[in-house]
Amino acid sequence: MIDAAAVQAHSKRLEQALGGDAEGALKACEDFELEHCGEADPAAMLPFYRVHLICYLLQDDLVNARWLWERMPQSLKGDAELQAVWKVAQHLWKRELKDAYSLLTASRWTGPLTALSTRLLGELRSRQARLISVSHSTISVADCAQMMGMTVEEAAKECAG
Amino acid sequence: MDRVEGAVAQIQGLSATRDDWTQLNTQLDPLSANTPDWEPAALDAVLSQLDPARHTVGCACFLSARAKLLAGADGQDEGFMRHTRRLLIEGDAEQLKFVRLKVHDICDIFTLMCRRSGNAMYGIRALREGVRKVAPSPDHLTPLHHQLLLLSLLSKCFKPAVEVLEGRTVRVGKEGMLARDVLLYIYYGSMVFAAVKRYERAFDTLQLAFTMPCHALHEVVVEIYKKYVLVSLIVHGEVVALPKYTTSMLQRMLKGCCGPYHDVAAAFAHHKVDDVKVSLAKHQALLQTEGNWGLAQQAMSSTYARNIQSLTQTFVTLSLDDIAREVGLPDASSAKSKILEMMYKREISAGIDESKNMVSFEASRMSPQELLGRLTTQIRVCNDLNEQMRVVDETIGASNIYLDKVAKQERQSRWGEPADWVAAGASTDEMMDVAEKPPGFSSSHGR
Repeated sequence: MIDAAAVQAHSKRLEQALGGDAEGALKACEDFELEHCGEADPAAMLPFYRVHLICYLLQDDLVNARWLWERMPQSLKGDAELQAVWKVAQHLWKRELKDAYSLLTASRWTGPLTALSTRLLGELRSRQARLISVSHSTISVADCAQMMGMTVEEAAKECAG
Repeated sequence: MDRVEGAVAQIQGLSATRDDWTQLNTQLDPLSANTPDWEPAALDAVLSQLDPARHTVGCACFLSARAKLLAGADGQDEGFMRHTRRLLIEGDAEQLKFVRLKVHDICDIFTLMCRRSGNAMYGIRALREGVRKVAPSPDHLTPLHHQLLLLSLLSKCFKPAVEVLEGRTVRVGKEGMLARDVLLYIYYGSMVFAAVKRYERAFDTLQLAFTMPCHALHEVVVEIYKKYVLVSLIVHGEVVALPKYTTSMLQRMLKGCCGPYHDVAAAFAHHKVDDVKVSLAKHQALLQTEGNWGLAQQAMSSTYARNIQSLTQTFVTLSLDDIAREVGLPDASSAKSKILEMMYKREISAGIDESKNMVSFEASRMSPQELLGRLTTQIRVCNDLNEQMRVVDETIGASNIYLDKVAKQERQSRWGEPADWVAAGASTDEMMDVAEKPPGFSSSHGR
């Protein structure tokens, strides 16, 4: 249904978009999905799906991330990186942030996901810092470090700023 | 086939201006009415000579003829699907609006084929473009709207559908639209909102169905009402009464036909989690058959959040253990994670003191900028709505039907009913002076 030239064009668009913000990269992936409708060559679709899923997490859009996982072709779900991103999404859904942080730091990422996973980690930590500042009147440094997935020293430095 | 070749030449010649299209339509109509059994290959051959961007009217005529043939048949026609997709994505918006009714027919069959093929996502981009191009204005509703929503639900790809739903579609044209189209838009629209967990919008959408005047109960309205009960429980914790301008017939009949759902709603009345669980277990089979089990479970979990909310009305501070006990959660840590979740979603404003395991509920804290921003947006929305209402008011105020009605009422209030005059012994002449004259009456009549 989609020819090699079109795949090339979409890949180029994604590459350019990855230089900017998550929104542009997400749009490129969504448009590509509506073109191939899950019936293109798996090797071509996989890089897009990886970026697609992690961009939803960057935008804190867990609902759409879940639907993306549900409708993705089954054959692609075996990919290790994709599974890692999905596990992170599941941890975020259940607000198990500690597990999300450790998975993000421990997993092996390739290609655009190296930069995107680091960005996601930073994003999650800053969201959590905001939540702590709004919700807690007093909190121990150790608990704070745990909630933000950092060591005690890093957390103290982060919160002092 | 010569006729067809001739038609292709005509289309290529007559596609420039609106007059050309009218002429083209008249010439092509007899052709499409008497089509031979068109093979897909023949359709391919013809359409490959035409460019959808320039010859939209012509392509639409051929495709709608093919659609009529496919209407009764089973099976697929991949060529038809491919050409329809091209027509919608590349077609010229003005020309598509011109042949709107033909495009409705084509899209009916196109949606059906997408569903049958098992690849509903194929139609999403095409219908999204179609919705934008075919509607007479961005405010108008078309059958393509609910077809797009249906394909989104089947393919689980919701972002394009939500974009369309966010647009303020308030007008329904008379041509090409049935009550069923509006009801399906409401039904599928609410399901899309529920799928992306925007339950307030789902609730607002469902309420629209009950504002339609009607003389009989439509099957879609019954299904809408069932979802309305459950979504109302999720959003408000009770079934909000139908708007007072709902037809009384509808109110009566709906009360009678959804017994199990009213049962479930009654269990929610006391906000006790155990009662709710029992009621849902009792009706689980029915809810699952009717596809409403997911919503029912959401309603159940929203009870916890609602109970915590009601605690904020009574208590200033409370320990996590007490919260868990009051609300029906198993332990303090699940209460804490529930409260953190609610705070993340801005449903509650509270402070947790880790050292004492206490939660203090506070009045909603919003920064002045945030407050100002929200207020400005709300005021802007109200102004837009006010402007639309003013335009509607002016249109009605200037219409002939309204002016006649007002004149009649004024006459009656000033001079009384004609029947009273006769009873008082008025002469024909006197009555002629003040009574409503029939159309075509001239003042010299009868004198």
